[in-house]
Amino acid sequence: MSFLRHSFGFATMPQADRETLERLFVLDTVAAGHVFFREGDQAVAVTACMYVLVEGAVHVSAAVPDAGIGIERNLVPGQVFGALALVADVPRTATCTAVGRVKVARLDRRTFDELFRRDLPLHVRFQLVIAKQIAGDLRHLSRWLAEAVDPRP
Amino acid sequence: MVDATAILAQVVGPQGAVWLAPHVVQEAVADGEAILREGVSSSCLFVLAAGELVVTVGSRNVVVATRGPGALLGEVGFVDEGPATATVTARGAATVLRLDHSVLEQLATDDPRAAAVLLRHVTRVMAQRIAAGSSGLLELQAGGQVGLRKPKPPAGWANRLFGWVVGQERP
Repeated sequence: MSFLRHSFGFATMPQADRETLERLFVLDTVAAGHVFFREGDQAVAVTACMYVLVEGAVHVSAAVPDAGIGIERNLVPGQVFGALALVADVPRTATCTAVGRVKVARLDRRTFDELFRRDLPLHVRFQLVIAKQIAGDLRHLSRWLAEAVDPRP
Repeated sequence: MVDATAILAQVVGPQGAVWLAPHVVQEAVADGEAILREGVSSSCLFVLAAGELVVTVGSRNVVVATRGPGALLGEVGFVDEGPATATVTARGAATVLRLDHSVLEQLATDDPRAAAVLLRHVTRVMAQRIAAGSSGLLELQAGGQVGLRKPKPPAGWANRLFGWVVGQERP
């Protein structure tokens, strides 16, 4: 199943890379209301996973939804969530919940780290995709804070 | 001239410093000179080797952080080559080590060990900054200080949060 072909960042990778990476993921199907993780959870060992949404929708909420800040949105297939847990020991920064029946591809940190030893060039290309995903999230947060610091008239 | 390897060792460890030192460009920055301008594309990563840098945002140049030696700046643009999220200006004379995005691409092919060490560090820093902003928002929410239906937030809360998001240490 080529679930990375339409996924942010992975789409531009060579097909051979995508196929190798897809074999590292585990496919899960979960029921409506399933909480993948909650904001503030510490991701450790097997819970330190990133996810690619394959089918359905996932609701993401963080911090202060009633103020229209932080995050509150639905992800669509191809989008990635939980990537921070692959690279850093930081608490989850959002709560992610299945909207209806959802299929995801899951990759844990141990598998990500093993790729470093097994195929270093591919690991680096994968790291760059993850880095761009996280850079996008940081850019979003910075833009919102900049607007709060110095509101436009 | 500063010892680039010694400075980099504080950031990416001794082995990473040896791998990356040949690729950094050492630059003197004059008092008041900007190395990054908010909204202007940049694909350079900077490590502050000596001196002090001030991070400002918005049309009023609001100061959100002051960074000292060893600070990492420009990491978002280094990764995605988009516009800088803040302006970074030298306060007094400063020296920075600059690494271009093109070096990252070159290392990914020629020396993937070095590229992996660099990417691991940069992504970890970005993750920690998102987490710092996230936990700061949660604290403000818990204190009833942010929210449309909450009392007016304390002055300067966004400045402090932005400071943490660009690496300013929390008190």
